Amino acid sequence: MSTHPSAYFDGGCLPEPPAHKDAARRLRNLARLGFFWAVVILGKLVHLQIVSHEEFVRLAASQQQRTVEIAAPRGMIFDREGQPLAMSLPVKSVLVNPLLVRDVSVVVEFLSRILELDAAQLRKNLEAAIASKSGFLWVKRRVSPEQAARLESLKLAGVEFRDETSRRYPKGALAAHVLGSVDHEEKGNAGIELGLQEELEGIPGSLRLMTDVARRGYESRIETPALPGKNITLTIDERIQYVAEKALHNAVADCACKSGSVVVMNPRNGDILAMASFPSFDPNEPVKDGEDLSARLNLAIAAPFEPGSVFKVITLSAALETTPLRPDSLINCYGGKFSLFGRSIGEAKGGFGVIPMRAVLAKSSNIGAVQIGLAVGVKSLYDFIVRFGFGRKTGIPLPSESPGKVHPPREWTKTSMGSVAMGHEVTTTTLQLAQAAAIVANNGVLVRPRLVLFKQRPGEPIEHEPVAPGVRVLRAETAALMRSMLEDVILPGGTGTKARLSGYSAGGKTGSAQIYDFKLNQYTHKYNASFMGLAPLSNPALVVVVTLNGSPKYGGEVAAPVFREIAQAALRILEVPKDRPETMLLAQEASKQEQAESTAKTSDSRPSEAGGEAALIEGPSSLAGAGLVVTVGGVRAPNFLGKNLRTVLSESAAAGLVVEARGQGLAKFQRPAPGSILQPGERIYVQLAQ
Amino acid sequence: MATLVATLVDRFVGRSKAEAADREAHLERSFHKPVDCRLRAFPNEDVYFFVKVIDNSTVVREADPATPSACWKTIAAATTGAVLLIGLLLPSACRLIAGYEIEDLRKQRDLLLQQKVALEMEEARLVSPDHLAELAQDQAFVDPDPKSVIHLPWKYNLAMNPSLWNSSLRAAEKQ
Repeated sequence: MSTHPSAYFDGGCLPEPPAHKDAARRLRNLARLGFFWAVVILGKLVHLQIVSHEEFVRLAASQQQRTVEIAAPRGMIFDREGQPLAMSLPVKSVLVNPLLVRDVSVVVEFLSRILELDAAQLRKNLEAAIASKSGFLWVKRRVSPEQAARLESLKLAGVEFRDETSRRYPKGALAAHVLGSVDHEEKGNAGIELGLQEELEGIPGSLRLMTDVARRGYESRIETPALPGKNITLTIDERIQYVAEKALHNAVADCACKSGSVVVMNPRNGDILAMASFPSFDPNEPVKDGEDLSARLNLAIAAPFEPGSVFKVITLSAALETTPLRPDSLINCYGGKFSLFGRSIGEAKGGFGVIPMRAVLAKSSNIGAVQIGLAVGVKSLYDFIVRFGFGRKTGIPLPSESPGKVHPPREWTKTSMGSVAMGHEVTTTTLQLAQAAAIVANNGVLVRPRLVLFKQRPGEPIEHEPVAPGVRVLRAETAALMRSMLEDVILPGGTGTKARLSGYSAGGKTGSAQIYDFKLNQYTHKYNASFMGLAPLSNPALVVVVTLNGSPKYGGEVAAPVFREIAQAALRILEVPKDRPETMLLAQEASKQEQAESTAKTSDSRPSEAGGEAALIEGPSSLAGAGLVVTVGGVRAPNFLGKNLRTVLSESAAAGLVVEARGQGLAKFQRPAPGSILQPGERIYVQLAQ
Repeated sequence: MATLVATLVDRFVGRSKAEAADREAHLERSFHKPVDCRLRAFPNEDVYFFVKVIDNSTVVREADPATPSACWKTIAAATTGAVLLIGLLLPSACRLIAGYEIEDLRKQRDLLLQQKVALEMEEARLVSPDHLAELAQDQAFVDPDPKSVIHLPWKYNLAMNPSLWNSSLRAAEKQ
């Protein structure tokens, strides 16, 4: 039996070897090292997680997150029919981070070629940016989509893109003065763009985008929602606006005028249907160096002028309201020579003796107007001028509106009545004249002009622009009397016969104010030719004021035809029912045709209006055999009621009419009704039922 | 283990010569002590190795009734663990995939909106009165003669007052 070696050590007779002490010491050192290591680790963790937490979160965020701007496009501008007049188009702008550019020559070469820039200048700018260690340099803003696509495909180092919007006016110069324009920062600098800048401008938002290592987004969170600008719907009707601008342009060109303006307004609610000014401009084109900015001036509101004879409407209205004078009251016009406190007053053409007040207006007698003005008195006339809205802004949201100038009575001289009564010594704008005419058209109630129909921010309810409450200026009877007197102006013997409309009654007043030359200190032979008209007289649907500045001819010669052209088209566009019988029209036109033939004896190859009417009557006569009634104004609809589909179709085919039949059985209803006059090309809808 | 660490420490840290001399002297003194005749124990000398031939050929494993259940429990636990793991990771994975898709769709939406605006712009330009007038001129269209245009009063105009259609139809049906 062996003895276990450890038995020799029992009893502890041997002292503990030094190795044990060394081991224990080393273990303690190791433990200390481990502890120190743990403390360092812990300290580092504390540093990472607590002390520098924010910093590392920020660094991580910069690597993993991106803040993307949410575009808030500028609000669109529409006409009253919803046609866009101004809109913002998303475009890209090119910029360079000079610090990331590897080869300046290559970048300059590509950028200058694609963006059509001056290479030397671009290189100079780029090198200057690199030298200054700038990390940002605009190369070109709002480039075309094609240019952006070409540059993006090249993937040039350091070349970056930024999304922006570009304001565009798809209708070109249409309503340019109303719309205005924007600067390079897309802030309005004229027109409604400036007037409603705060509402049109959107506030961009921001979006936090989580990105992977390839900078591809996989999660996003909206931090600040974008607030797009409000869309503005104007009271302008682009069709009427177009007609007004075209007519104005032609008139200015024909009469060699300097400029002109037109306002078309609905007298019931003050809606401005058109506001044109000439010369015009294209708001898509930025202002160029040295460009004549007068073309960008909205003459209809910003260029007051002496209105001349159109102002007699206010004088006569005041007389009807404040004096016993009636339209048939006789006024002595002194044969065309009259002296007021030593100042000689004459007529534009010839002279008149004693004529009724309505003739004073129809013939535009200056002396008659002064006589009536004297009867009204300074205070009353001034009071009515102010009540008609002159001398103060109308309040439409367009910048640069002029209030015009009306001197208070204390500044009037003895002879001022001789000027003010016929539209001198006061200045007005075309819009103010339209507002005044609307009072007569609206039974004596003044309604403030309205340019904005409603506003709407996307996703929010519509904010309707309220119609300003009307203010009674004239009694309804006075307004009716004035309308009848205004009709005389365009009837034979009046000064505005060229303003007569076909199918509609109309009234108006011509004006021809001599232009004062401040250099020569005298009146020139140029006029502010104007016409202030309304139609139809029975229930006016619109007021049109035309002003041609620097015209060598009178308003009745040059402005009245413009009124006719615009009013005729506007009434058709607005589908205003005619208030003149067709037979009367035909008779009038026939007599006019006879007169023209007998006097001029010209052989115009173009069919005249009366000729056209005759053709219309003769044309369908061949359809008489088909049971159609041919009458003045066109073909009358046959009676399909009670007939079956086969009969309806055969009769309509024989008559050359287009019928749209619905249902089965017998015709129970048709539109237009039997006997109605059909317009050329109009279809007949027939509803059949069992 | 302690010996291994001591050896490593000795190797890399070293021992001072004085310590080595002390150790030698201590060993010598111990050796010459008359009463201390026992040997120090060698390291691991209490470990004995034996070789024994075992014949397991006749050993038969006894069926353990707990084994199948343990096996099933293991499978169930593993499955549960896997399901839990997938359940925890799947939503994140799905969210990540959906996130990529959403961002792609967002880009597409922005692109489509841009195209829409550009098309609206083009449409507005094409239907502008100026352009229409040019087209009309090309086609030799003219404005209708004022006398050929007749607008019915609003209250009789079915196009502007559709309610009349129904009333007219009812009246016709009654007849």
